Amino acid sequence: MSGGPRWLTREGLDALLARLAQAGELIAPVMVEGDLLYLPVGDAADVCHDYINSHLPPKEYLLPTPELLVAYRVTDGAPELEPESERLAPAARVIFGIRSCDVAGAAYLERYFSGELFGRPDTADGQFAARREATTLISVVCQRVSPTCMCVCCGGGPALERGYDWQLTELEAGWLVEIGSPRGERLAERFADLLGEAPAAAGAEKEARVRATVESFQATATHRVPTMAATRMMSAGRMDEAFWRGVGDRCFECGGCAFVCPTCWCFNVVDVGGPGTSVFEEAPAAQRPMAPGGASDRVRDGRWERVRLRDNCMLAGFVRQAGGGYPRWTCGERCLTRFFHKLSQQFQERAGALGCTGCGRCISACLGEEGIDRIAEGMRDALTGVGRASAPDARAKAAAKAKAAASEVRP
Amino acid sequence: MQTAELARAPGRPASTVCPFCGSGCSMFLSGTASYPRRHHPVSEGALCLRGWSAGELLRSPARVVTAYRRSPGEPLQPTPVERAFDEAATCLADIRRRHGGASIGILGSARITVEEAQALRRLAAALGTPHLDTLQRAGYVPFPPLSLRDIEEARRITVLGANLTVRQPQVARRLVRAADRGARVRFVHSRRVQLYSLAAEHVVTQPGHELDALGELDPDELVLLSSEITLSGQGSEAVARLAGRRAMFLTDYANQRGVIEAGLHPTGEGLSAWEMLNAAAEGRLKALLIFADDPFEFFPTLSARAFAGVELSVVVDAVKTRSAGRADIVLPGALLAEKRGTVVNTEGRVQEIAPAAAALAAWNEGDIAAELARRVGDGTEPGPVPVYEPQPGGRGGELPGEEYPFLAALDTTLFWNSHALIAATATAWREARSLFADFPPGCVTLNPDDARALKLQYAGSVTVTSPSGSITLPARLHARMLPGTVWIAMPCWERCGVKLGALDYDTGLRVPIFRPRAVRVSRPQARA
Repeated sequence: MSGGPRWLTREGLDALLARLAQAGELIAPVMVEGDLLYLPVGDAADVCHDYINSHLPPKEYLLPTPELLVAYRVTDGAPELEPESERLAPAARVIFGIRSCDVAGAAYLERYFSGELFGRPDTADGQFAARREATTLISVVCQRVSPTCMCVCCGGGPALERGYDWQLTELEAGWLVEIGSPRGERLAERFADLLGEAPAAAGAEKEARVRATVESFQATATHRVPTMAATRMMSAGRMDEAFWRGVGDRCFECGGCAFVCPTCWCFNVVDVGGPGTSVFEEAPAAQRPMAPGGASDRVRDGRWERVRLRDNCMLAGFVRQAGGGYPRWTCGERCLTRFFHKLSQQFQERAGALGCTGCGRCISACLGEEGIDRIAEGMRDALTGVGRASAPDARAKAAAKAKAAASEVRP
Repeated sequence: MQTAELARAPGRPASTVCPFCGSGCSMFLSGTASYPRRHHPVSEGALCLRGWSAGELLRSPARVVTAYRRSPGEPLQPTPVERAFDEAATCLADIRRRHGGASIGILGSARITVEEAQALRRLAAALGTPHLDTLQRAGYVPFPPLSLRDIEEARRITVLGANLTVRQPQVARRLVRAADRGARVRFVHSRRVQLYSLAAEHVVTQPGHELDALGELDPDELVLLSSEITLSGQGSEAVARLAGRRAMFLTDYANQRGVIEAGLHPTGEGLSAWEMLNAAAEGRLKALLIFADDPFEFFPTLSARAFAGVELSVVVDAVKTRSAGRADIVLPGALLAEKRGTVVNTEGRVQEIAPAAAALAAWNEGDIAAELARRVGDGTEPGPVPVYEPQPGGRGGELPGEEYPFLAALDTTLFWNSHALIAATATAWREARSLFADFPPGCVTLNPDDARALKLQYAGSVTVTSPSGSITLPARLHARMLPGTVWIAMPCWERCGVKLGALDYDTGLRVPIFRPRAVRVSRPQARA
């Protein structure tokens, strides 16, 4: 069986999940203390089917934090690398129930870590590629929208045309299965006994359901990203300093927006020993190493790990250079950089997609109550010069009046 | 961090409470990563950078995973926990026999649970010492609890000397929501803090005189105040002035409210933490038992004298603090995430926590206190939990004059709630460290207009002179600071406070303060 959509009965889906769970390969949405999390599932009965989306994206299965890059043992001052085989052969797994916005996010990450985003395939990240290759994504098309969903604005859903391995849509009589990659084909071959031919009307029913979801969004949405206006303003650098100062005024530099964003990839790399390996510090804080137990301990014998940690381009320490310079000194400037990556035409051309998939998580993770929607609306208002004054715009005007009042002097 | 051993263990992530500020965010811990809980009334899906970094503490290289002991004149050496207990118990029993129980001082912490604070009270009673307190009580003043929802729903809010975005981000978030809803927000402050652009009114005043500028309050007006007020000497006045009002004190530490309500504060003839350090430095105390507190954080000189003045110093902590590095015996404590117990946040919300990870050395502060009480104590039980009632005392800041036209105050915004924990993370420490890396000797912060008048460039040295003395430090320049003020970075509290005569003791709250002082600011004299 190959080509064309397939069909999975409700019992078939239960059997599929049970067999994946039994094989120890299943990652699926599970309810924990009222929150939906993507977790390894040993019993398919634990899988939650009644949800709109999770607050945390499942990107940690592709980009874990911390992620071991290199391990080495120092003996008598001489380092020796540990074998890499285990890290480059990650266990096979299937993530079920992932939403389209997160599938689009995974595709975005893949483009970055493959080096394609900057036209440098020679810089491809082997570990990411191995993990992505071992991970099959079974996405489920949304038929309900949450108050912060915005995928319709960003091309991140509710259904995708490409990027998925399997895309499931729940229909009246069962599940329509669309297969979009060789990984998906291999999974289909493995579970060929559960898959059948899709009924002729299934495609039309799916389209109707997707259309209904979009209409529901348009009727009820409280958050939107006006992407065209935002892209136009962002790409041409037309948002002035006062606007970004206003945005920066609301940024608490928590990093949450990047940590929950399915397309953000910023990371930091540090070398660390195990618990207890650092020395008792007598030195004042300035003389301590960057990471706990880091540089000053490097000559000490023992096992060391070079790990990749999630990071955020909005943090001052992220942009701080070794000599103490801050190329993006104010928070507003760092906000500008982030949104240039998210919304500009320049980045869209490189990535083949908008840097925002419209998942809306940055809205609920923002301590300053300012997600990408409000910032993009501020850009739209600046472009049109009419319509309601957005909060960022109002703030920008206030900030312009008190110019120099909210920024730190550059060194 | 040793990721290999922490490859995602099967099973569900466990929730715990963030160990940093007093907001009480709930988070999931998975491996060494922390994530906010969406459906929790405090975190509501968001954490600050400290919270996002908190998971890194679980396997930090800076963790204490075994006991240590020091032979005279030697560095600390690892030793089995049992042997460290034996030694600590023998020394404590000897000191108690020779000098009495009151020669022992106990410092607790606001990053232990309520139950552990109770264990410390039992230990103090069993040892026969009245001296029990924590430096992390600094600045706390008791007010009836108000909730974060009260902030969101308030129609009028006055922010009294609090830089919320840095110190209590979840409170700042509620303030933003209230402002977005149309609440009238007023800032009474001696600088322009980050969210001041939300304010309908900004009452500018001198540091140390914020209460004087408070003016009349509406009956339904909500006042948010933080330790910025109390650490400048206005604590007792704030209690008196805001009695019966809708005032919310924003706690600085995860369980500050909980441990103080559980009795971790000086009573009767018991010495306060500050008095204990001074008594130890003068040889009046013979032993210091420190549970998850780090007096070196702000008072390194006094702490060094205190440690040198006692016969025995025992530090129990989950991370390698500078205090632990100076102790005679170190015992391994645990993080909040590794404990079972109760913590109380700034709202007065009581949160029960269960271990989200196993303690690295199978001990925690409460168990160690109980074990010491069992080995050395006489079985005496503590009395009823005393109520914390600050007495009148303390005084606000000076006012600038002709000869000393500037006012020097403590800059509490450069404070990450728990330096010891921050320094044990990778991500948050990278951010917190920038200040120390940019200004290794410490720094003061000035308004750029003042700097221009002084022909002073960024990071140029500036001499701050008070009638008591002077100190020269590099200057940061920040437009949020008002002209005529000079702000002392919190890590320089003791050094600058002593030189300028600003390090004071609030006899009402019984905590050290930095009383704003009138100073003169000049460029350093060129050396001949």
